[in-house]
Amino acid sequence: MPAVKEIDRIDALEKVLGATLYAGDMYIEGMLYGVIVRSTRPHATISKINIKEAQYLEGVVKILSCNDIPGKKEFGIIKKDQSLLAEKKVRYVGEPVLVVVAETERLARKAAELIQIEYDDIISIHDPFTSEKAPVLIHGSGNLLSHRTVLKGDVQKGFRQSDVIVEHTYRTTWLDHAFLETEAGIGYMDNTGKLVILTSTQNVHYKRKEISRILGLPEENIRVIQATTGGGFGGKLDMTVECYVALAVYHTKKPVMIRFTREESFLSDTKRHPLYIEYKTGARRDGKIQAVEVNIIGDTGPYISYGETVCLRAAIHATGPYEVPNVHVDSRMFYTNNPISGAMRGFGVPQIAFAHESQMDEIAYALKLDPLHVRMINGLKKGSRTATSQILEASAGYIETLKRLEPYWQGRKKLKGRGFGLGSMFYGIGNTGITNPSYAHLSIAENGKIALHTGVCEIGQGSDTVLLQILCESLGVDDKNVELIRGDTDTSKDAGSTSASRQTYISGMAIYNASIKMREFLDKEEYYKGRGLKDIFLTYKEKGVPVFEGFFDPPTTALDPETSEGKPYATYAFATHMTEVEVDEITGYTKVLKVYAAHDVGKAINVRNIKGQVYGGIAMGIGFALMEEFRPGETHSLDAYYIPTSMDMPDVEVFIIEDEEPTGPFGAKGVGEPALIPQAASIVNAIKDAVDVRPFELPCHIERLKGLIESKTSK
Amino acid sequence: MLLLPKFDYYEPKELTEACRLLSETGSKAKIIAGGTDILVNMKKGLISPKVLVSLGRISRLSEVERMNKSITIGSHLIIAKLAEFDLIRKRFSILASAAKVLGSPLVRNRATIGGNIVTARPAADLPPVLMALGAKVKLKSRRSEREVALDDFFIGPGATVIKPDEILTRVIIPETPSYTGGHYIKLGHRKALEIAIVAVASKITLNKPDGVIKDAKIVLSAVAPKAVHAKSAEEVLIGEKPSAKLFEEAASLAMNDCKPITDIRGGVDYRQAMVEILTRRTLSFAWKEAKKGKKQ
Ligand SMILES: Cc1cc2nc3c(=O)[nH]c(=O)nc-3n(C[C@H](O)[C@H](O)[C@H](O)COP(=O)(O)OP(=O)(O)OC[C@H]3O[C@@H](n4cnc5c(N)ncnc54)[C@H](O)[C@@H]3O)c2cc1C
Repeated sequence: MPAVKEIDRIDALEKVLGATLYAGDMYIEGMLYGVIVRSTRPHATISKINIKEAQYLEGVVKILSCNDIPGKKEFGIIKKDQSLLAEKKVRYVGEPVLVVVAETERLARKAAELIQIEYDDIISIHDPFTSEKAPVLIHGSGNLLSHRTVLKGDVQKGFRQSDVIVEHTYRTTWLDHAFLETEAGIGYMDNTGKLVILTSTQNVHYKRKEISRILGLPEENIRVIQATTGGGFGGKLDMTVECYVALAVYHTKKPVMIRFTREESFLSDTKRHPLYIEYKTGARRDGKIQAVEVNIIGDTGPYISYGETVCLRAAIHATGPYEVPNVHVDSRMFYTNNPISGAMRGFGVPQIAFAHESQMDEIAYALKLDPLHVRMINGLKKGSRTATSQILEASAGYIETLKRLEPYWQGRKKLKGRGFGLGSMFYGIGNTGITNPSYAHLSIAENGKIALHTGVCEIGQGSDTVLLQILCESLGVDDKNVELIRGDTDTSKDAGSTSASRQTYISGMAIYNASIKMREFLDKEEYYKGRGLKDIFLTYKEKGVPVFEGFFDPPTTALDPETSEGKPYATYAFATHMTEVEVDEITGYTKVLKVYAAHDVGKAINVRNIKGQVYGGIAMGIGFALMEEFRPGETHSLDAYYIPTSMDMPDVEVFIIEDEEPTGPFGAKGVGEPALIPQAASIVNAIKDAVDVRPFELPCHIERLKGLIESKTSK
Repeated sequence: MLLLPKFDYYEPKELTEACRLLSETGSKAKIIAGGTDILVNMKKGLISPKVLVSLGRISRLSEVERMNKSITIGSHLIIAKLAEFDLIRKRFSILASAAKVLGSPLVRNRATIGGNIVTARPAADLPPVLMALGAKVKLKSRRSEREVALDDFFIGPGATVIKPDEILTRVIIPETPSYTGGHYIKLGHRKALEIAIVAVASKITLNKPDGVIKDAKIVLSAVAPKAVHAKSAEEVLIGEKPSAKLFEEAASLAMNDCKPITDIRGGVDYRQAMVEILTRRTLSFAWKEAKKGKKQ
């Protein structure tokens, strides 16, 4: 396949100049503002709501409750289990109860403060371990949301064959996406009577479905447009403001804006699932892994969101990028009255990578083998059988990621207080074992440009640019001759969510598919012999310009409900990071000095975008490893939620490996989540190398690490 | 985005005018300098002054001047500038280094030295170094003017001896004698935008390069309701010849000179332990600098 011609990011200049408008910057004459009134209790029934004082405040237009919902009252991205506005019961601090709509935002906030809600508290559950046997049920059906297993071979036999067994427990906590732009949306009725919502989101078509359900209106009457989105990381997949804005517009017939403060965002945004991971690995003397047994306990909060997805994805990825003959994984997700956990860059895999990479190093230490060597001899490659018994047929560049880093690894020079660590990962691109198609279509616009219609949401990762490149390359046109029309339910078909690192691969392929058809047409119309697009347009203007539909759905199979056997993903990305840290043993402060990051992306469509993702992933991985910790009830804003700054960024060297994926556009896979996944693991292993203590709980922040070092020396 | 409540805003060109506005409006008025603290608190609804009086247009408040035996810094000098002045960098390097680690470039470009003092946050960066340098502040109201040593200025979190009608106009720092060295260390999770878990400022003066300690100041931050001197540690140093052992002794005394609390940024035990470490480290560094010699 040819290299794809690179173009500059199409949104870069406008963003650098600060000229880009986000949803919260929009203004429409006469617009109203909505503010959500939220539960202050983790688990309670609502006994009384007093809105009198708020209602009569001048400028307050409406106060909406669950009784004002004309359609279905529940929503949810996987299952409809969450009340849009609480009816009788609240199940977490921050659960929406009412929406105040007023002439100004200030008034709406003031009115919201004047509303009194009385509660009868119910025993609340905050620990997934006691959840199953707790005397109260958060929902009727029991407090276990999901239990998945991955079975391969015979683990007992595998452990019997092992010369060494290491067994540890790993823990992670809640993280917030902390996107720069908090959740925001604006809605209005257009002059055809359609309800239009402009919102910061990762998925316009899903949002339209939810609004349609909630309002009891057909989808044709609703239009969802993606506003420029300042980061998502999974936090803008679930419904955030959209249905509330829609409900307010529905009732007031006026434009309405809702935008969250950082505090509201922290309170309501779904979090990364805290996972508790018991991990046992057995290996032969030569380092060959014989068996892996894993028990995962997760806390999903009171509603499903992506709880089942994370439960399954963590289980499938539990063995990491290694071929393990005997596997037994149990993964359970429990309900609690803690914050809702949902999608966050990697869906449980960054957590599990922390565990399996710590284990790999422990095996290497126990056997006095080189950690890179142990990874090498166990690594997945073409022809390997994964834990779900999928045979990797192509594009399995894991070993290559190790080989690329090997010279640096072998040449590393350990200075005092410093250490090096490796972290590897594999990651299934797209949704797990279910259909997750993307559609796109192409045509010629009146202005003589090729119109690319796609439902893909650009959330800062660069999909606009990459999709354009794929189109230009496969069609043989210049990007100046293309008009990108995206992220709008009126002008595009469903491309699925911008999540699971799937858009370059799946929507890229859908566009590729459409352009193959269009190419034939253009060829016939002698475009490639020099005929202009405008001319072709005029020929077809009367009888209608043809539309070229593109479609791709990666070939996966449903998984066996007991063993998870099957083909959950059509392709996997692979990566290894090597990190050097410096640890101040006396204070516990860790500085990340240098990261070498090797990624098998299938094919690099845009090298700068890939590097951008890797840099960002490393920053997020530093946060996950060393400082980020959302504490329910204590973390209210960025004041006490530490995300790394540019000053905390290490030097980064990126190595791109192109083991082409035959089903992907030009061989491409994805890199969005893979960029983050191995980073925390590599830091933890580097800390162990530096100061000979192993963190089992993240974040391994300054004080926690000091404690670990201290307990080592006092032994 | 949090919204600001409504208020009236004045930008007097003269200090006397600012004083008049304050005295006439009474407790409803507040000074706004860089606004990095007061506006946040107003947005959060913690305070709601009806009148804000800006010092931004009063010219002489951003100057650094050398007086006979001291330098004085206008209260409206922004933190970023503080680290730039040659005079400050050379003579009061600990002030420059504290200024460099305060917040982020955005904050440093707006926040002022006066604002950082009057805010009186227990973990603020400038008070500990200014106290170690023996600084005083000049407070001016319509009718009077007084000088208060920074040691006597702070009462507790957010509380100082400043009266509602007073303006902090200048910070006065005495010239440091020869053979003086100092150091400031701020401990946190990350390299910028960090509220200290613990911070320590130390300054020592020797009678001669290889002589004894004539004067010692150790100020601990984020481990008490306000920045505090590690008194017993300071005392044990005076008259002694510096050595690693002496600094260890002082450091372990410093641990008991503070009363930290556990909060989201750190626990009591950790903070206490770090006071010892940072005291030792700042003293060793200060000693090295002090030995270097005479002031120009
Ligand atoms: C993101 C962020 C990060 C921060 N990081 C740090 C940090 O690392 N270290 C740190 O120490 N602080 C930090 N701060 C706190 C704050 O920025 C500083 O305390 C700053 O120095 C305050 O100065 P200002 O000029 O902005 O004060 P303002 O906000 O204008 O005023 C603060 C208070 O002082 C009063 N005041 C100001 N000037 C005078 C005067 N001349 N006379 C009388 N009263 C006066 C005001 O009335 C007000 O009550 C941070 C703040 C933010 C928002």
